Amino acid sequence: MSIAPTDAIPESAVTTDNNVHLKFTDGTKTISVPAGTTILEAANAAGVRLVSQCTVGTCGTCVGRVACGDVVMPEGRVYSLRQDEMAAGHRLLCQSHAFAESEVELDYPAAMLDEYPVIVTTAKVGAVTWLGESVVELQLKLPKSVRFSFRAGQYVRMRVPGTDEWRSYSMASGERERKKLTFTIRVLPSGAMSDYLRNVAAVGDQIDLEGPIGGFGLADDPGPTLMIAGGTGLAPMLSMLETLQTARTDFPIRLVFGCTREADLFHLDELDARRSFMRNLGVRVVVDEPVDIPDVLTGNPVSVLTPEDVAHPQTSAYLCGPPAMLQAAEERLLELGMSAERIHAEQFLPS
Amino acid sequence: MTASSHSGSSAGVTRQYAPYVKADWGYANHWYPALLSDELEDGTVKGITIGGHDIAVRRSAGKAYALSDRCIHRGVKLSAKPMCLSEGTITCWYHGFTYGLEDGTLTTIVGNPDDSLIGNAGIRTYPVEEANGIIYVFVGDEDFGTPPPLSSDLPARVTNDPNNNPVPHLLDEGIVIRGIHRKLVGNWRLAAENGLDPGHLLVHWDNQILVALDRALPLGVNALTDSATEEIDLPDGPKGVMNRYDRPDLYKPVLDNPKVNMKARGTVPHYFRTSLWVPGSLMVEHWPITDHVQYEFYVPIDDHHHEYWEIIATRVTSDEDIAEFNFKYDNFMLPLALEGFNNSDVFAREATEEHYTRFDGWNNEMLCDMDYSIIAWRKLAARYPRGFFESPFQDED
Ligand code: FES
Ligand code: FES
Ligand SMILES: [Fe+2]
Repeated sequence: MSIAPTDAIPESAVTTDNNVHLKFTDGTKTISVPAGTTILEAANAAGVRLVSQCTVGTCGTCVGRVACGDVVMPEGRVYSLRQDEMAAGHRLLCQSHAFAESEVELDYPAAMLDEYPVIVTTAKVGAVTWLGESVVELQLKLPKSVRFSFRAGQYVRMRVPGTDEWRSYSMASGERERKKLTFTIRVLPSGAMSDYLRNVAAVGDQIDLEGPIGGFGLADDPGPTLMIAGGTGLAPMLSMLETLQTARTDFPIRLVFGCTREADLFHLDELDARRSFMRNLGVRVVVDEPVDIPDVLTGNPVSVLTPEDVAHPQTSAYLCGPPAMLQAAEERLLELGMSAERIHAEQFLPS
Repeated sequence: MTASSHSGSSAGVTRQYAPYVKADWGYANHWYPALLSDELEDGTVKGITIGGHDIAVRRSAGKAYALSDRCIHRGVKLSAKPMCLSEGTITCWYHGFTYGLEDGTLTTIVGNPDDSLIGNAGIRTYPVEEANGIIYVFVGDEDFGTPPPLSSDLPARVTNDPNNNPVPHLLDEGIVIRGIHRKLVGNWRLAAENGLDPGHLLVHWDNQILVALDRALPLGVNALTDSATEEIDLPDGPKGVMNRYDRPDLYKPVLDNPKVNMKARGTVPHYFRTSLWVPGSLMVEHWPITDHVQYEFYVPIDDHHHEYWEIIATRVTSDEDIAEFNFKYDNFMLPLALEGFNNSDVFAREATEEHYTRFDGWNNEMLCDMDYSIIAWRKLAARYPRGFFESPFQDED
């Protein structure tokens, strides 16, 4: 990357670092701009994203308005700013140097440049499928015009149709599917979403949705993966498995999936299928009460963990389920010698 | 299974190879044939599309290069009006953005050599290899890293020929290759599966080449055990499935079916064997005639089109051999095999497309015993996605 020709800036003038307050429409972020560095470069270095394209002062996208302070672009060049714009304080931040503490106004929200910006939209129900006695798979289709992307492990909030109740659910589908999301939802004897899914839900219904939300997701290091899911806590694991499918590592992936009662089990055939095409995937299904299903263990997800599961020092653990299970699992993993920063947890509450 | 399996839905079954069912646009991060070498003269550019990637292939000083076929300035395709003004570069015909072939950097703008953008922007490039008359491009994620060897994405080199005369591999020395390719309607998978399908001999029943050679072609070949289709999974090498037609103990040919009063024609028996490889290439050993091999590639263009490649190769040791091959290719193999025989396949593949796109065929098909090797292929292919191509279009799902 090139910077503006600093020889066009009087050397003596640029000697100190200056703070620049970047005023986005959704808040202000302050960065320190070292001498000889453009504001865009300093922002990049500080992890603050700004709109930019060419980075060399030709396209005009990185424009900001200087509200106060002293921001200068090298002279002797043609820029895509008119005289009146310059006079109004507009500067190309990819070319600008800060000569004093300054405030720069930007006409967009900082969140716009997040990797997975939060969107609010109305989705349509594409399918409602009962996966078992108490679990429904809800498929939502997003409008064509909406640009939605997420990281496997994240969730969205949705408004239960006909009510003002909002509920959060993790995507069970992979991040490659951006227009068709699936959720696995526990249907309880009562509750707004449960009542809706049991009695009302129909293909074509409209559901307001906000997301993606949440920081749960795969850490980017390629060690073995241990997933511990309680009940519909399986959803984010399914999504992350789709990412791992193409991750090109041979490290083992161990999924422990536990339910309280046999009647709560679901997706056993799905997990079987995934094991058939993911050679490094091992699945352990466990139920509190003894059940008569081949390969299903008795106990809880924590009781079937073994030291071997976390033996590799690079193992990452992902936990999702009810609070009690999370806590027990976390304690057990620490006891088995895992370091806390390799344990990632997402808690959900029945609703 | 649920009650819906009685109504003809095969959704439960397709789950066994879900990643394959999802691969509408094909598998990313693989080597694919782009052009035949003699289609790309020195100093020229051709545009192709693989898995939604528009790619400009340019030859300069003998070497082939592949770059994104979309100018960063205003987005036109470079190949729409090829412009090659110097060795080592490719120029956009619209406003003259000129890119270096090695790394795609913007090296100059014809009418504005001092523009600030020069040296600061560029288009992406793709790894290229050229071997035995075919230019291959590695297509997929820009940050994939070092591509695996080309040989891992081509049919394996066979050594177990029952007559002790293995057919040449695409990367062998001392061989000749001729062939054609054409853009067809239809998803790449339907074509690939048709190529392997042991049950589709009926479609070829009346093909000229069989009549002319008096080939004994059965009405069908039925597997006797599930080892009739072998999974080949070489570490760091090709992954594929092979119909072991070389093992008479594994197959029973069906020579007549009295219920429809149909008998197999032809009297001259002939040995051949088929195998299908990730990401979508077929090898038919000793086809159309002994000592020759037909390779086919089903290269995804988008979810409804693929480039159908038909290649014939054989070993040669002299110029006379080459002349003999060329004569047979031009006067017999091209018209009767590649265009004649294979056109029956093309017709069938195109006819399948509608069901699989508009009626969710992957979940509404009724596969039968004959289709065991197609299922074996689907399961194998589901295990090796290095990635998936995706629709590049922002105005559609
Ligand atoms: S990024 Fe193009 S002018 Fe600054
Ligand atoms: S569109 Fe290519 S140079 Fe302008
Ligand atoms: Fe055929």
